[in-house]
Amino acid sequence: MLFSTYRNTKALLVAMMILTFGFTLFITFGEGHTMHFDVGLNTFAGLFIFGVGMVLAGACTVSTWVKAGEGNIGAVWALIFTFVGMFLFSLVWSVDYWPPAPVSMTGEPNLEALQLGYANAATLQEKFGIPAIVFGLMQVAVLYGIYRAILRKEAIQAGHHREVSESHEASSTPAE
Amino acid sequence: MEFFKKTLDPVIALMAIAVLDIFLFLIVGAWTVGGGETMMTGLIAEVFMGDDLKRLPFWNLVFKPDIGYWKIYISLGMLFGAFVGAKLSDEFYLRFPRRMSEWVMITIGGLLMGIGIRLAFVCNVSTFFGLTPEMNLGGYLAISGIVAGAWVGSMISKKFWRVETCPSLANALWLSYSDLVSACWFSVHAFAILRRCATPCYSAPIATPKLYWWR
Repeated sequence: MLFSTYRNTKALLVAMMILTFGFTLFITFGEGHTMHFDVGLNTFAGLFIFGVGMVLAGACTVSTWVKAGEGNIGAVWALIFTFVGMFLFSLVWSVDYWPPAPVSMTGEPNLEALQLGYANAATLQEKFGIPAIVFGLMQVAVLYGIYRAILRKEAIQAGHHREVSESHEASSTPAE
Repeated sequence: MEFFKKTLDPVIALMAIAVLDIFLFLIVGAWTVGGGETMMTGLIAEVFMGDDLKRLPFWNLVFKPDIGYWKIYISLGMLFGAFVGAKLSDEFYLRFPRRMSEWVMITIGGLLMGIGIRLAFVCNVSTFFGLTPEMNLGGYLAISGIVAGAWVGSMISKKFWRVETCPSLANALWLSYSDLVSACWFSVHAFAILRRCATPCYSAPIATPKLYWWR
């Protein structure tokens, strides 16, 4: 799982710091292909459902592909049902048309359809006239703060671990 | 092949992925997973249903099945890469989930992942390696969603594992399975109902024929 140990979380934070810096740097100069679609309540709800599924299946979509390649039949089964889930969703969508299709996205908040519109580093740069990299560096600083907090927490845990093992040793020596 | 036998330090592995992802961002767009799978679903469904698929507005308006879609090949590349890596390190062998409960969890998990990806337009990779580094508003929404979801998921699986230790409860497992599926359907529908309540005269974005093959 994502947060059961901090080893992968730390790696993820490092990668996100690099990516934030790289992406916002290129966005500043108008380079790169940003993902362009409106977000809204569906983004939160969808990833919530995805998060539950990810833990139950024991893998996200990437790791199901990788595990499938390594010969894991359970992962192949998960993939098949991911496809089934997508197809079921397409049936529901064809009735209620929510979330809005990319062709009907406006980029503006549309609260009636529970949509918040489109906003990223590029739109921030446009709106405030401040280069996107400035916002990017702010995000890098926040990510680094989380990284530091994890390191601190790990140090406390390690210290606690040492104390406990020392006290165990101390109490077990006289008995021997 | 020694290289494939060693486990790479996750920090180094993800740093390499991050740098490659920046190149990908400049060429086609940040690494995402989900779109390719949807396209595959569409293509598979097209094989089985033929032209009937066109009567489902989703496959016209959101995803038109297209075999040339680049994201399909990213996913197939991961499959192929993992296969080659496993073969070269002699780690390729077929593994099967042993317990019934594992099959059940994988089935529900897969279904929920598929529904979640399509509801949000993103999966966890595009959240962490695409939306959030682009500082897209959706990235922050998605991270909060995935953290909450993973937490709930681990609660559910804990409960499942406790039940699982008692084999006589296999029936109960199947019952919870169907309950969970209906619960997830409900949550998908609940948003649609909520939205309908808010806007009684909401119209579909584009007029489409009201002909559905399953009716």
